[in-house]
This record gives sequence, C-alpha cells and structure tokens, in this order.
Amino acid sequence: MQVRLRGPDAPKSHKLGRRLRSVLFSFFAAALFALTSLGVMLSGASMAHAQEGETVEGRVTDTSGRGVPGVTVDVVAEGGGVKVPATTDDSGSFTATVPEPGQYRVTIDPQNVPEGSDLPPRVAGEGVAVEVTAGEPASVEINLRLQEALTGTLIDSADKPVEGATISVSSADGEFAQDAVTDAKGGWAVFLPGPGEYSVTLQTDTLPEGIEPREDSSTELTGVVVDTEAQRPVLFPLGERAGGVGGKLGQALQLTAEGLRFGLLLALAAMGLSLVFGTSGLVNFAHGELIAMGAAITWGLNVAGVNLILAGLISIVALALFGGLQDLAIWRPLRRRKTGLIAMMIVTIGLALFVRSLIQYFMGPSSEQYREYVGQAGLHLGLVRLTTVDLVSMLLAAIVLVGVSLMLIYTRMGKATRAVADNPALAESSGIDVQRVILLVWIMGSFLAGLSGTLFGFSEGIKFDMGQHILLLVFAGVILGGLGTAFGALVGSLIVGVFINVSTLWIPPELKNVGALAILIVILLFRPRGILGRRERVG
Amino acid sequence: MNWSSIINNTLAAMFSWEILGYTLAAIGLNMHFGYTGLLNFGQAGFMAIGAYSVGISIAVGGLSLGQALLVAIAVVVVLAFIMGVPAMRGLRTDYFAIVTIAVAEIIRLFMRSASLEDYTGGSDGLQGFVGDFRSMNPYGGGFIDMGLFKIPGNLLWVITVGWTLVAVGFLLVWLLMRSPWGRVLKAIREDEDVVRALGKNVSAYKMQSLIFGGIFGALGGIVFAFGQASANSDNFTAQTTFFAYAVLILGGAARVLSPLAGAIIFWLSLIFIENVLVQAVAAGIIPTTIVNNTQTSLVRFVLLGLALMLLMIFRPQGIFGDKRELQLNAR
Repeated sequence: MQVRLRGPDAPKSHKLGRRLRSVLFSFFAAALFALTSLGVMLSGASMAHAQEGETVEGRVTDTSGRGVPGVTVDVVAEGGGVKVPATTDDSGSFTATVPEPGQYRVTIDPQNVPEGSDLPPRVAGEGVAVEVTAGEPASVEINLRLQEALTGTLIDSADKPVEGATISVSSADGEFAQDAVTDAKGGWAVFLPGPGEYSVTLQTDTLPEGIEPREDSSTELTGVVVDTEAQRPVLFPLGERAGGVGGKLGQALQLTAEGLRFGLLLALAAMGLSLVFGTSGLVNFAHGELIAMGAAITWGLNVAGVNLILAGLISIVALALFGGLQDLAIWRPLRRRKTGLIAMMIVTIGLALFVRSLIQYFMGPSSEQYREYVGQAGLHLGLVRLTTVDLVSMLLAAIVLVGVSLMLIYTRMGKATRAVADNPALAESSGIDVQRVILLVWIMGSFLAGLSGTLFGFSEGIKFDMGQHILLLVFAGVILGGLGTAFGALVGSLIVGVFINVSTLWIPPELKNVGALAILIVILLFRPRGILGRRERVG
Repeated sequence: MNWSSIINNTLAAMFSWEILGYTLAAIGLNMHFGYTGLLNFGQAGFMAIGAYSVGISIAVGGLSLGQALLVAIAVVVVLAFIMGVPAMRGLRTDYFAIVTIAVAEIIRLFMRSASLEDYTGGSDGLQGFVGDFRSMNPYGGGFIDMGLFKIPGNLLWVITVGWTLVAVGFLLVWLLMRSPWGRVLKAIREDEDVVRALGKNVSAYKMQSLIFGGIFGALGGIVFAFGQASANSDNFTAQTTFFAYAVLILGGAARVLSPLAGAIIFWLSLIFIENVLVQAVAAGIIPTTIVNNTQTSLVRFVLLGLALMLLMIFRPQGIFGDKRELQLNAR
C-alpha cells in the first residue's frame, strides 16, 4: 500500500481554496449589489414612464368572491402575436406584462380550472377583453361559478370505501344521462349541465360481492332537485350480508390478515434496506423511491398495453439493473473516496428528490391504478375476506422471502453477505470480496424493492410519492427487527404491518402510521439493536 | 422568449417570504448540523410546531400575537426535549436522523388528521390568525409600487419582519459562535468523547443547540404561516426539511451567512428555471411533447436533486463554506 504524505502542496491548496472562497463570496456580494442597483435604476425609469411593457393585473375569483389560486391565464393580443401566461397566486391575483398598449383578451383554459368550478361561457369561448393604455396598469376580473353537480361517497357498514360501483344520473326530461364510477376512496361526482330535477340510481349489480344496499333504503332516487350552483350530496346506505364472524373479533381477524399482507410487502422492501445498511453502513433515504419506481414502471408498461404480469417482471428486472448500476456509478466510487456516511446519506436525499421528481414528471401527480386485476371481489376464506390479488401477492412475497432467506443461510454468497454485514473488516481480511458482496446486495435489494412496489400498486394505488410514505414504515420494520439484519427486517416488518392495521380498531385510520413511527422511536431509545439485532454500541 | 419578463419575475422573487422562511429554517439547521453535528432530519417538525402553535393559539385560543409567540417557543422547547432524548443518550448520527424524521412525520400526521380538525383545520390547513399581525402593518393592505413590480402591502410587512428576524438570527449565531459556548459545540461536532473527557456536559450542550436551532426552525414555519395566511401541514413534509438542507449545503454549512446566500440562490434558481421553461415552451423552443406546462415545475426539482447530489460529492463545503469546518465524517 502506498503511503501518501501531505507534502508542501497541502497548505498551498488550502490557500487556493481560501482564495476561491473569498472570490466566490465577493462575486456573490457584487451580484447582489448589481441586482439591487439594477432594481433601483429600473424603479426610477418606471417613474419616468420609460418602463418597458405594460402591466395587466387581474384576479380570478369563485362565487364567494374568494381568489382561486393556481389557475393559469393567458393574456392574448387581439389579432394574435402576443401570448403571455400568468398564474394566479394564493390570493387569486395575477400580473402579466405585455409589450405594448392595445386590445387584449384574457383567456382561461377550462382544463386548468379547479374541478367543480365552471367558467362563464364567454370566458371559456373568447376570453375577457381588456384595453391596455400606456403607463397605466389595466385590470380585469374573472368570476368562476360553481358547476352544478351530484356527488357522494359510497362506504360500507365498516366505513370502508366501496370502489368500482356505478351510479347513473339522468335528467328528468331524459336529455342528460351520465354514469360515474366510485374511485378508491369511494367518491363519485357527476357534473350537470345546469340546475334542475335529476334521478340517481345505484347499479346494485356493480357492488362488490358481499355488499348490498341496506334493506330499508332505496337505490333509485327520483326528483332530486339541484339548485343553481349547488353541489348536492347523495347518499346510499350500504349494509353487509350476514356471514363470517361479526363484531370486533371478526374485524380484528380481518385486519390481521390485511396486516400480514401489508407486512409481507413491507418485508420485501425492508430486506434490501437492512442489507445495504448492514454491508456498507449506508442508510439509504432513496430506498422508498426504488419502491415507487417499481410500481411506476409496472404501471407505465401496463397502461402502454403490456400484460400486467409481464410488465411486473420487466419492472423488477429493470430495478435490479438500476440498483446494480447505482452501486457501480455512485456508491462504490464514493466508498473508494472514503466519503463520510453522513455525506452519503445526504447524497441519497438528493437522489430521492431526483428520482421522485422524474417519476412525477412521467406519470403526473395523481394516484393511478393498474389496468387489470383491480376492484376484485373479496373471497370468503372462513373467517376473513381477501381478494385473489391479495392472496397471490402474499404467496409470492412469502415465497420470495423464504427463497432469499434460504439463499442467505445456505449459499456461499449468502454466507459471505452475512459475514460482511457482521463485520466488514474481518470479512475482508478473510478473503471475501466485500465490494462484490455490496454490489450483489444492491442488486438484490433493488429487485426486492421493485417487487414490493409492484405488489403495493395493487392495493395502495400507484403514486409518485408512495415510496416516501412507505419508507418510514420500512424504517420502523427494519429498526424494530434490528438494523443490518436480514431476518430482523422480515420479523419487524410483519409486526409493523399487523400492528398498524389492527390499531385502526381503536384509532382513526389516518393516524395508523403514527403507531408504527412511535414504535420506531421507542425501540431506538430503549433497545436500539431491535429484536434480533446483535448487542453492539450504536451510540 | 420574453427575457425581460423572466428577469422581472426572478427579481420579484427576491421579495418573497419563502426565501426568508427557508433562511430561518436553515439558520436552525446550521446550528444543529453545521455547528453541533446533529443530523436533524425533522426541521419540518419544528416549523410545523411554530406555525400551528401560533395559528391555534390565536385562531382557536384567542390569544394575542405576543402570547402566541411565547406559546410557540414553549412548545418548541418541549419538542426539542423530546428529540433531544435520543441525542442525549448518544444515539449514533444515522439513528438520530431516523428518529427526528419520524417525529416530524408524526407531527404532520396529527396536524392533518380529521380527528383534530376543530383545532388544526385538518388537511385544509388553519386560517384566520393573521388579523393581529396585519393590523400592525404600516404599509396598508393595498399594492405597494416597487417600481419594477407591485407587491401587496401585507406581503411587504411579512418580508420586513422576516428580514429583521434573519438579521437577528445572524447576529446571534455570529456572537454565539465566537463565544466559548460555540467553541464547545464545534468541539462536540468534531469529537464528543474528547469534549466529555474534558468535563463538559455534552448532553446539555446538545439540548441547548437543539432548542436554539428549533426556535429558528419554528420562526421559519411562522413566516410560512403568515406569508400564506394559513398553516398547512402540506408545507411541512420531509421534503421541506430536505429543501432546508439543500439551502444550507448550497450556501455552505457552518458559515454564519450561508443560509441566506443558499436560500437566495435556491429560490431564485427555482423561479428562474421555471420561468425560462414556461417561456421556452410557450415560444415553441421546447416542444410540448418533451415538457408540457405541468412538467415545467418538476424539471427544476429533478435538477435540484441532481445539484444536491453533485454538491455533496464534489463540493461538500458548499459555495462559501470552509472545508476544514465541515468534516462530515465526524459523528
């Protein structure tokens, strides 16, 4: 090994660094000064009426006179040639600068208007005219009105949303008829052509198996009057067919089954996170993005027409490749440079932001669903009810987890991996190629995360930030089991999965993750090595 | 491409509360991470606590602005103690990061929970607490002509207060960091065992650093709340913490003024890139098949993520930082 001494060049480079810093600082200060003086000069210019361009100010308001934020308006010159976009701020105001005085129109793309607000017809058609005179800001006000609508949320007797049910709306004169299908939250809405009398029908044959309308309620409502600008809610009370175990115990069993499914999928993701930490010491805050990426690629291929199973396979293989490439391109060089672990953690945060924004770039901000195998009816399995997809996911996850565990226990590479996780220095000195083991762990971990994301996509939907939210639960599982151990991650994730689902018996569902995070904190405070972790100094 | 409008919008962004909110949050992080070496990934939690304590105290509790600020500080101290327990027990840096990110997430989940809607406004956020603050506004509610652009008087008032807080923050950090107290903090960052061996109470110093930085985080959150006239849990996600880190690292950790420099560069680049992209798309320079209007805002976050990675790899001391000040290997 070559011993490098810090020769006479060390102080020199340090001096250089110092000079560079002061140059940068003075550059920054000069830039700030220049900007400020530019601003002052321009203000003077504007007072002398020599300002370039004219200002159009305006406000987009809803029916109550409140500003509507985030609406994109275009200021278009009469006769074309100029098109200046502007977006309303939090108070609904916008400002646009047009090059010269003249006749302009302010238009709004109906696509960009928040759902439920409707444009007055003339705005949608041709825009609001505004005359811009020199030296004076022109102002314009655009009122949005609320579009009449019938809305509702379909929930079953256990307060769970009913997805995929069809609701038909038709007007009394029969001229308007439209169907709505409830989304993952059970919500539906039909926007109407205008006020009037409508009839609303719940198509009972589209309800999932086991859910029926309550006997004392009607599924066909006629003569529902909608007033001008009213968004009228319509409710259909639903019951559940008798059968299975009722009461708290039945619910607890059902939630345990769902929790096991959730825990198994968490475990897939957790194993990779834990092994990467165990072998290279890196806490990977971008691991959640691997999960989201797995789901997003599967969804993207599926929507493009690829069979879902094939899409899933391609996605998982792509993720494995991505993981391997990541280690070769980023982490291995950083380890070689002896970059600190904290610096590497912050790099993972940059990577997470990078990947998450890319996913959102390609798939948009909304929550999506696969084209196949969604909205399945539940199968009665004695005491609990699960869909076929749930069962297949659980089985697949269990098989893969057992397979990976067996590999870790019995194969040469698996033994090497555990040895590195146990004590990298000792493993290296006993002839194990640590870098190769870490590369393999990255490939395997990303593969598992991709599978986990693809399976999560069935039940939780696919959204660009899903990984970010699942990651904290993965952390909880990994830390509960013992950070750095593969089997600890498995056990911890199962416990977390069951715990957060069963806890919804007592706490509101939107707070269920709080329990898991609280476990995480308590474990870190009182038993940082987790359930299966080895006693070592983590403090 | 309308360059004058791009420059105009970018310059106008100098007058934004976001820069000041992120600066204050980063001043707090600088204390935690830059000087003490505590990897606090829960700064968004402190910000949320600041925004919501003030909001709830005024809108629900009916307190005055001054009392509400005192409540906020008290709650921040409590939160700092909760987060500080793991730090005091000497938990390793990466474990501490996970604890703090979890605490911040718990706070966010509670703030947006429907079961606390009467107090927090649920997922819609909390409004109706800016009256007192605005009544002190010397500029009036109308638009103030700044020459190049007009900004609302209320915004100018938020900005005035924000700049004052930033100035006070810098003065305090500068004074503290040249005091013996500050030298102990830096020593803890470098090697806390040595400091302990010298008979200093490391836990107490860490706690004081957490409280001090937490208060500035909370002030950042309060600037967010008054800037938007609303306290919204969506503003205080882990992403907010990471943006504050990006700001701090951009400027250079462990330098007094770097949070401001970082925040200005961070925010103006975001606005500039977005405006350039929007104009380029509108002018047809970039075809909409590559970037459409909704994607323009995402490109900048892709670039931000990339910038954070590259900065951390190739210039971890940031633009103005001192490499010797920041041995990121230190636990």
